[in-house]
Formats: sequence, C-alpha cells, structure tokens
Amino acid sequence: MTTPLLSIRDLRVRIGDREVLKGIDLDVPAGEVHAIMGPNGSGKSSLSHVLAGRPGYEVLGGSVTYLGKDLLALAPEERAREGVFLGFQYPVEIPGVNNAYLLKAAVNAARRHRGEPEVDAFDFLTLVKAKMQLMKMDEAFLSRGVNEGFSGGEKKRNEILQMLVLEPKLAVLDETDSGLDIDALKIVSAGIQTLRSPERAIVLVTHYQRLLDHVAPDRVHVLARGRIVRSGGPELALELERRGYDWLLEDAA
Amino acid sequence: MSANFATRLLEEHAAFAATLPRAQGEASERRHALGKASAAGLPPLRDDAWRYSNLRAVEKARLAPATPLTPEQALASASRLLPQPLPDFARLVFVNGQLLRPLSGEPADLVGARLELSSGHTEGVLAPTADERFAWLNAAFATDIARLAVSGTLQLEVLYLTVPTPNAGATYPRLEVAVGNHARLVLVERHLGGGGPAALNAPSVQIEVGAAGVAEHYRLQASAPDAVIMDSLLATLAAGARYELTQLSWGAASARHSTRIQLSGEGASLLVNGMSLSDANRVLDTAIQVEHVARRTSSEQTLRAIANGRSRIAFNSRVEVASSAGGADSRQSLKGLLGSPGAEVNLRPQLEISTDEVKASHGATTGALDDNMLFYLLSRGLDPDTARKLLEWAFIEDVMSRIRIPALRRQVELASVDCLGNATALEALR
Repeated sequence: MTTPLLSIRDLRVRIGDREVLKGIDLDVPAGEVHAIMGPNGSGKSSLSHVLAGRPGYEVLGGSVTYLGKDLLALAPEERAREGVFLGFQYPVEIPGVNNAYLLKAAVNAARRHRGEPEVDAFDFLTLVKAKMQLMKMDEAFLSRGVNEGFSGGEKKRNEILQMLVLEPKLAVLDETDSGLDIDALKIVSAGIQTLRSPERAIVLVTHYQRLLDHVAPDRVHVLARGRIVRSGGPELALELERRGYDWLLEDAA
Repeated sequence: MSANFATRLLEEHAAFAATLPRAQGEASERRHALGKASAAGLPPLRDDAWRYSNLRAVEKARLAPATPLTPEQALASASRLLPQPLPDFARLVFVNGQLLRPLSGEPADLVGARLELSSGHTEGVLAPTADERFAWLNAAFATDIARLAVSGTLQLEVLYLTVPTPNAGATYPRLEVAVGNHARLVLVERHLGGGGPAALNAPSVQIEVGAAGVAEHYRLQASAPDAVIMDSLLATLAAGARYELTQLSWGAASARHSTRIQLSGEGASLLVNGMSLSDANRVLDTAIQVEHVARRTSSEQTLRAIANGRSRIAFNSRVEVASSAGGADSRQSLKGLLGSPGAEVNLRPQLEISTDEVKASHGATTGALDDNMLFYLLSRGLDPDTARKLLEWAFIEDVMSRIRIPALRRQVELASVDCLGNATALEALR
C-alpha cells in the first residue's frame, strides 16, 4: 500500500476543558472517498475544523500528516493553499465581499504559493461560469456578497462551487447534505462526484446515509464520543441506517 | 470657560463688524445670531451631547474670519485642492468662504435654479437650537452666503476649500437651499483643505425640501489632518418630500457634525447614510436629531464607523416621534468597527415616541472583526492581513453602495482605500 494522502494518528483535541477527540486514527489514501458518520456531538465537526485549522481547538497529542507534511504545523491559509478544502456546515454571510472576488483571490493565493502566475481574468470567468452551470447557479450570484441572502441550499451549493474551482487534493465536507432538499442533494452530489479522481481524497462528514446513495464511499467510519468505534465498507452505512447508532455506543462504552 | 468665550466673541465680532459696510455689520439678523451665539457660549465640558467634540480647540481658536485672499492667491491655493469635476454637475468653488468666480461659472448659468449670493443670512423654517449652536456663530460672521432656489432639476457641486491665512482666522461657509415643490436637486458638498490647527471652520447648511420635492445630498468632510470643524445642518421636509443625506467624514483633527432634520409634512421620507473613518488621534463626532412631526413619515439611518489608531468616533442618533406623527416608521442601524486596541467607537441610538401608532427599530453593535468571517476567508487561502482589510472594506460597503453618482462613488472609494491604508480593497475594486 502507498502512503496515504491523509494520515491521522492518535489525535486528541480539546475545546476549553472538554476533550472532543480522544485518540483518532484514520488513513485516507488518494483516490478514495471516506464517510465519517456518527451521532450529534460525537466530534465529527471538531475533526473537520481541526483539519482546516480553526482557532480555539487545542491539540493535546497525536499527529496529522498530509502529503508527507505535518498539517497541524501549518496556518489555516497555508493548508488551503496546499490543497486542503473545508466545506462548511454553516457557511457565513459576508456582505460587501463579492463571490467573484473571493473565488479569484482564493485561486490566486494558491497559484502564488505554487509559484504560478495569476489567472487570466477572462479565462477564469469562463471557467467559473461553466462550474456554476454544473451547480445550477445563476451567474448573478457572482456579483453578490459571499453567501449574502442565500438560502441554506444555495450556501451549500456555493461551497461545492468553491471546491470545484479550487480543485483541492483533500476535501473535507462537513454535513454538506444537511438542510438540502432532494433536488439540491442531487446537484451537490453530482458536484462532489466530478471531483473524484485518483489523485484526490474526499472526506464526507455526515449524519445520514442519503448523501452516500449518490456519492458511494470506499470506506465508512463511525465516530462516537471522540473515537472511531467502527470502520467498514459501504455496507456499514446501510447497517447504520437500519439499526441507528445505539448498538455501537453500547459497544464503545 | 463659557463667560470668557462670550466676552471674546463679542469683542472679536465688534472688530470684525467694523470692517463691514455699516448696513451689513449692523444688520439685525447678524445681531440676533450674535446674541444667541454669545448667550449659548460653549457647551460645558461635562455636557454628554458634546463629550466627543474638541471644545478646547474652539475655545482657543480665533473667531474673527480669515483675512480675505486676493483672487490670485485664492486661485493659486485652490487649484491644488480641487477634485476631478463630476460629469454633468454645475460647480461653485469657495475659498475661505469667498466665492471663487473663475472656477465657478456664472450663477446665471444654472439651469432649473436661481442662485443668489448674499452678505446676510436668513434663518430658515427650522431655527437652530443649542444643539446646533455653531450655526449661530456661523450666522454672526458669514459674509458670502450662497442662497439657492431650485425650481426644476439641478445637479450641483459646492466646494468649500480652506487654506491658511496670516491671521489664522476662522471660516464660515454658509449654504441656504430651498428645493421647490416637485423640484429635484442633487447636491455634492465638499469640505477640503484647512487653515491650520488654530483656525476654526464652522460651516452651516440649511435645506428646505418642498412638497414632493427630492433632494439627494452628499456631504464629504475630507479636510486637512489638522483642521478643526464645527459643522451644522438643518433640514425640513414638506409633504411627500424625499431627502437622502449621505454624510462622509474622514478628515480633520477633530470634526463635529450637528444635524437636525424635521419631517414636517405628511408622507415625507428621509434616508441618512453616515460613514466616519478615523486613524491617528482624530476625533469625529456626529449628532443627528430626526423629528417626525407629521403623519406617515419615515426615516431610515445607516451609520458606520471604523476607528483605527487611537482615534475616536461617536454617533449620537436621536429620533423623536411626536404625538402628531401617527403611522411613522423609523429605522436606525449603527455599527462600529474597532481596528486597533486604542481606538474607541461610541454609538448611541435613541428613540423617543409619543404615539402608539408607530413602527420603530434600532440596533447598535461595536466590535472587532467577526472571527467566523475571518476564518472563512483564511480557509480559502487568503492571508490574514488581506482577509482583515477585505472585511473592513466590506463593513462600509452598504454605505458606499448607496452613492448613486458613479464618478463620486469612485472618488469616495479611492479616498476610503487611502484612509484605511487598504491596498486589498484597491485590488478588489479593479
């Protein structure tokens, strides 16, 4: 087996005086989609945020290796430029910063980091518009403030749009499926599918099976009380759908 | 302190009046205003309504007007302060309160309006109170008064330029505007330059918008960094009138803007956009009093402040809804952003309602940048400095977006970029 794209070893994390991750071990090889499932409060979102570098999470121990680098040593913006993308569960509204500008600034930050020239404005717009078509988003969104006045579903589509434009190597999507109706779920799933490729990895953090009907995972992990209590193939998600989480919680206790 | 000020005021005024033709110096309106100004004196230091105003600077400032410049001197000093002209706007240029004819065109050329230059002021429908006491000081000293009566449609820019004079005297720009019934005025009023730290600038503007008239009024205070400004604005709105005031303040060492607007006719509506940007030790103090007197009147205020360095910004916005103003609608949104630990923003929305039949809302928040917004931008690869500057810029965007003259908006955007030291915003503007 080759070195995984993402490798987490015994990761322990605290917020305030509460330990939210109590020793996570996880390997995600390039080319694979992993689902992280679990009940509310199990630490799923904490894991996503720690990977993206959100302030307020104190790492007590363990390591996260991403493409051979110590991910935890990088600032949030450096992780992004290195190809880590977090799709937010609750994307913020930023009135006054327009979507087009943010997309371009984000792409150029990564390109400068790689020593490449900035994108040509015209080519870039053409590319973004093509991706927007895929996400069934109106072009008028580009000139609006980031997520400003967007519905819940539009915000999630916008997250996926950003992901498609940035083409990350590791995408961590935190409950991207929550609050989506059936049609939006299909659009978002299709967007995620287009990113699947041998050199990328996708981590889907989700509460429900339904997203996995559209984006079939290679592996499924169950996170409960800050630990991964069970890992398996796609069939594990189906079992969870049938039996709920309680039986695993009893095992973990 | 006040007694000394009053004595000095009367002495300096007597010497000044003696230099005027007798009819002007002794004019009863001038005597009346002088009486009011000297009786009011300066606000006591502990007066809450003036807590953020630099009254010490006024106390020390010379009150007699600046020595008149020769037209050559005025022209030479004005040219370096002149902004790019706005397309399709008539222009009046005043230097230290005197009209500079070579840069102003002929008053008779104004279409849709009549301009009169007068040596004596007229007190408007809405008389000043102690809250706008510097309007009395202005009326006691002003000599080149622009009185504008708009009957059709007019787009006018009025530039008040201030330059140093040997006597470091004060300047008293004064503009009296009547927008007729169904008439329409777009007015851009700018205050630029400065006479030095000891020279007081006390502009006074009166606006009366007639029935179903519309006035769109942009006021830019972009004075020299050592200027001291005590500004007054009084406005009344007749039935169905619309007044949109955009007040932008980022210059001067200290500036006080005292504004009072009365919605006296049924269905009159008011929009106020205010933005103050400050750094270093600048103090920008804005007091706005809105009076709903007639039925079905509405007012909406959006006030934004960004304070950096050790500067201070205050917005004191008071709305009064009289018992006669049933069906009134009032909204106030005040937001302050602290760009550094030593800066201060003080926001005070106040609401006094004397009728049950009213819709009113107000909100005021001051703080540092939103951590969630900041992290969102970092998570997309933007560096922290760029992200912060971008959010500062975004903070004032709702005021900017209401500037409806594209050329002016561009000028204001560039000036704000400069003021905030914000190269990121400049890139975002491209």
